[in-house]
Amino acid sequence: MAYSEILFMFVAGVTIISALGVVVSKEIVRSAAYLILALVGVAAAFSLMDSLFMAMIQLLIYAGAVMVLFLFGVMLTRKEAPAKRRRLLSRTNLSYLILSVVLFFLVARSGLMDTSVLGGIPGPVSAIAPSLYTEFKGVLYALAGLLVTVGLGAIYIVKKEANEGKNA
Amino acid sequence: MASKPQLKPPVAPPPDPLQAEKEMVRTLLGALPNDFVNLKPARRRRLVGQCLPATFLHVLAFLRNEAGFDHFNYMTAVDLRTSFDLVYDFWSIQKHMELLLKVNIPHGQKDELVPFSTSTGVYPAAEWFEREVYDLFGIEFTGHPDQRRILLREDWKTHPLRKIYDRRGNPINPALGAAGPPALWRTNEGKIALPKKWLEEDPEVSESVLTVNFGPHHPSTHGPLMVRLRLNGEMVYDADIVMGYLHRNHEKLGENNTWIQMLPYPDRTNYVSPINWEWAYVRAVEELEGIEPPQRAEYIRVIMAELDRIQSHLMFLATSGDTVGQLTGFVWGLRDRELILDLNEMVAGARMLPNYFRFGGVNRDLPKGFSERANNALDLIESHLAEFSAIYERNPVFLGRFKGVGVLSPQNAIDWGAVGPGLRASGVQFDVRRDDPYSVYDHFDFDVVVSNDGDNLARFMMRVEEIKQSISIVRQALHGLPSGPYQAKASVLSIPPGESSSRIETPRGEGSYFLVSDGSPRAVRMKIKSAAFINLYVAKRQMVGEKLQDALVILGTWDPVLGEIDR
Amino acid sequence: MTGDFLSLASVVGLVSGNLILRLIAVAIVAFIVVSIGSLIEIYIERKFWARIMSRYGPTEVGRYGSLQLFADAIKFISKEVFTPELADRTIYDIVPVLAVATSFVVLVAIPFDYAVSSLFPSSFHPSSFVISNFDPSLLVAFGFFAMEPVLVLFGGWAGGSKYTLIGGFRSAAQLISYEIPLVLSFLSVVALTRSLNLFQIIEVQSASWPFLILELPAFVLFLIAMLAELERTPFDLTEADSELVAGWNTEYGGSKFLLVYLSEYIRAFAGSAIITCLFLGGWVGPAPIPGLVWIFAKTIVVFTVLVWIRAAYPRVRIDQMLNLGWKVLVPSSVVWLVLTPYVANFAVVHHLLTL
Repeated sequence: MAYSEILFMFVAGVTIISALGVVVSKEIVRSAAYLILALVGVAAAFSLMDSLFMAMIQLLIYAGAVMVLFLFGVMLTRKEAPAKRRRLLSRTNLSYLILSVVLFFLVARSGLMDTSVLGGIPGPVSAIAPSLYTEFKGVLYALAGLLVTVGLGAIYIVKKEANEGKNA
Repeated sequence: MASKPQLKPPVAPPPDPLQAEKEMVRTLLGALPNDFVNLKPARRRRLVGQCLPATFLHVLAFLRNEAGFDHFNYMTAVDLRTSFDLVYDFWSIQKHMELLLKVNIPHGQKDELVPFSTSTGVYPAAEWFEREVYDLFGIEFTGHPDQRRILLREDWKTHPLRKIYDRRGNPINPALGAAGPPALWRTNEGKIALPKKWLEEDPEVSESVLTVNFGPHHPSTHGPLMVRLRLNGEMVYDADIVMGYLHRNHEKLGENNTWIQMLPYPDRTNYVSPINWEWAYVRAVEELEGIEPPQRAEYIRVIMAELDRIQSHLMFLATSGDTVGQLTGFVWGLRDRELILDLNEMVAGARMLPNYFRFGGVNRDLPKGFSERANNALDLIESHLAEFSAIYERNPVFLGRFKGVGVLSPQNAIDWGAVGPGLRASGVQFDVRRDDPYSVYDHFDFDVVVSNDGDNLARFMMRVEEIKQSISIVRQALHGLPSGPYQAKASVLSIPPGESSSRIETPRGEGSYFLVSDGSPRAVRMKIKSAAFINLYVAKRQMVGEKLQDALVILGTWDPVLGEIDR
Repeated sequence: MTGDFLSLASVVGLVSGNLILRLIAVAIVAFIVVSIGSLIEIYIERKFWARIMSRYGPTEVGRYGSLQLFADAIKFISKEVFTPELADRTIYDIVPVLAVATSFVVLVAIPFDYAVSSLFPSSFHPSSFVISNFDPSLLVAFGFFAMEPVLVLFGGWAGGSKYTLIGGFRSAAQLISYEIPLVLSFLSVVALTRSLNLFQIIEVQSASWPFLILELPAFVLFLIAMLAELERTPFDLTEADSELVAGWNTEYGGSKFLLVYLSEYIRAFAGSAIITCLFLGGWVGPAPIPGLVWIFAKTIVVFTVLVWIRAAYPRVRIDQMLNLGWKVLVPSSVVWLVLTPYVANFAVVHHLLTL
């Protein structure tokens, strides 16, 4: 239908502009705000593709939880970031350029891919669990192991620092 | 020292009421024969003496470490026009004895700073008193950890309690004093000095801490008080208290109003427990005059003062609910307080500031039907205490905020000068009503409630238990109310020269008026020893190292009343 | 009269044919329901709480103070709109609006529209009118609930004051850490009904025992976590009037504060409605009373319980709050989640649960 395409264009536009805003914005909290907008835009795009589940997970995890951690870090830093003027041909800009070219080719390549591998038309939400626990069992185990390791490592580091703080 | 020949009394004489006091004088003179001048018992449980500025610190150290005068009551100064009398008041918690010590230091004609050695090294509780004396008299205490103004603003140029200034703070003789209060005093441009410690701080520390101002308009400071907390995350790294927003200089008013004109002011000193403060003032004047109020007047005073204590503690129950977000308890406390305010109105005609006590008695007799009404009110309050316990001390969330939080050790409580329920919550036995009994308190049977926990909950429960004790005292007094006159003959204008100091157990602890009279209709010096003032100091010391949320609860458990703190 | 009815029928026909128009219709229904709901809530909060405190609450404006809320709203709107000097203007202005918007979206997932349509089955047939019956509707509700910490952080930061900043940090820490037990405890209901659809969860409950009984531990955990998510006492330390003045929304005034206030009550309404749907059977009730009345009344009762809790408890400290969340609620909700299959098995065998 026409209006859903228009809607998609709008959402995509907002996402791209706010993604640019993340990089361009001088103030770091503004960048974070743009990043949230970009993530919400991605969620909106998911929901426009009839994948409400993915959209909500995006919202819940990325826009809701991960960004809060970002913001905690960002807001505790100084408000005034040093405004440095860069030359046009600086090393940073060059790396941006290279990255953009690589990304462009990646996107272009993905357009040629067979999207049916990614699921195409999404099934019901209840179909996720069976595939997660049977088909992608190995991946799930690996992820679980990784997360447990990360969690234990974090606890170890915190405990160690707390002990050091006590001794100091 | 050569031992005096002991007079052996002939046959079973009445025991000397001042025996313990004389004993103490002998001990002190025996240890420091050359340092005291004119040390003698003034009345029961009270010694008065003078010592020399040169050996003053030596005497202090002896008093604290050897003689057992462990509790620093207050210190102040008296301007004698050519010299200052520095007045120090100590209390021995073990021996139940007060020592009022004076040191005379000369000062010039003009308003210049006079140096003297600080006693904060021996008695940490002296810190704020010395700041106050510095502020109002211009005595600079060398070695003081944080010498800055406390009640007045930092840009105030003069020291208004000196006799060269009139009641408005302007110099009587412009040649002698500085030119009045600063021109800025009505604007908002006044400066508030930072503590010395913060200015000299390691820059790395001051980078990592966040200074947050609570107040002067803030719900949990109980009045216009500013609490400046340096936060390290949620932990309080350091605290500073800025007061004086309600400073009216009652002490200067006391020197410029006649004795009877001063009567309404004690109400305003502490508007939450006005009657106890009236009593403190009235008793001090009565002591100067040497009159004893009739028994009925004393009973009425006890009844009114204990009712006053109940309503003040109910106010405390209310505000401690407010500090932890328990607004139901807040309203309940205010609701029950109304009952007592109604009694105030019935007796004195005014609810909040009754102005009921007079020199030698009370303003009028108790009205008809007072006893029944008071008993009904007390029954109601007693039954409501059970409801309070349901939302307070039996409430797990409340216990989580109060139990084991803000523990104050007995040693710190004494060192920092805590008084009243907060001191007793740390397990120190000190209640003026029992240890230095005044009026007819020895007629009644009551307990001095003491707890050994020293935490917020103990300070809270102390008030609840004291309400119960006060209810019992009022019932006993109403039951045994003698008939007779309610007013002794007393002079209101010509007060004999001399000094007096009354000690009253106000709801917040020991409060007293120190009066110096030269026989004229006005006092030479009137010092108000505020319990809330020193308790606030304890609260400030206690806040450091606590969590932000706990810090303000701790402040609340010391029940600050800004009228009394700022005077 | 007939003409009106005919035109209404034609409107309904038009609406049920077009998704966008259906969405708008449902949004209007949700708006009306939540407006009435929030008004009743605020009135209950003020009146019921006041009675517990032995006060009267509002009495002057309207009969029994019923119009007080409108007076307050008019007062807020007519106040000066100001921005603090240190505030970050754009973010400061946009946060209250977004807070209300995200709170409203949560209501899409709650089957009020079904309750309305079942009142008029001839004109609003559920199959054509109801929009809340879509698959991960519970997830949608929580997805938008999860936007709150971000908004709170931005609101607190943009206010430009230390109170708001500390309040914002506290809020965000609290909301983030209570989202986990919240999700874990509703997951056990999801595991019981094998559905992320609130509509179906209620359908299952209509044929079984209410989950309040089958899932009592989950209900308790969910209620506590929801209290924290709604930032209500004893977890209102984000507002903490006694230390942080008003927490993250200290610097909001006038109509912006009205929006913040409104979003709080909409969230409270939505939260109570979710509790109603998950554990109390939604529109299902024993007596032959319209479903709309049931779901509405249950929601209000749940909210009244929240008010009661507020009246009875003081505020917890931040570390106590985090300890409760991470050390008590998260482990116990995980344990209960693991136990849920056995509960479900037992319930199905004994005909307590019909799937």
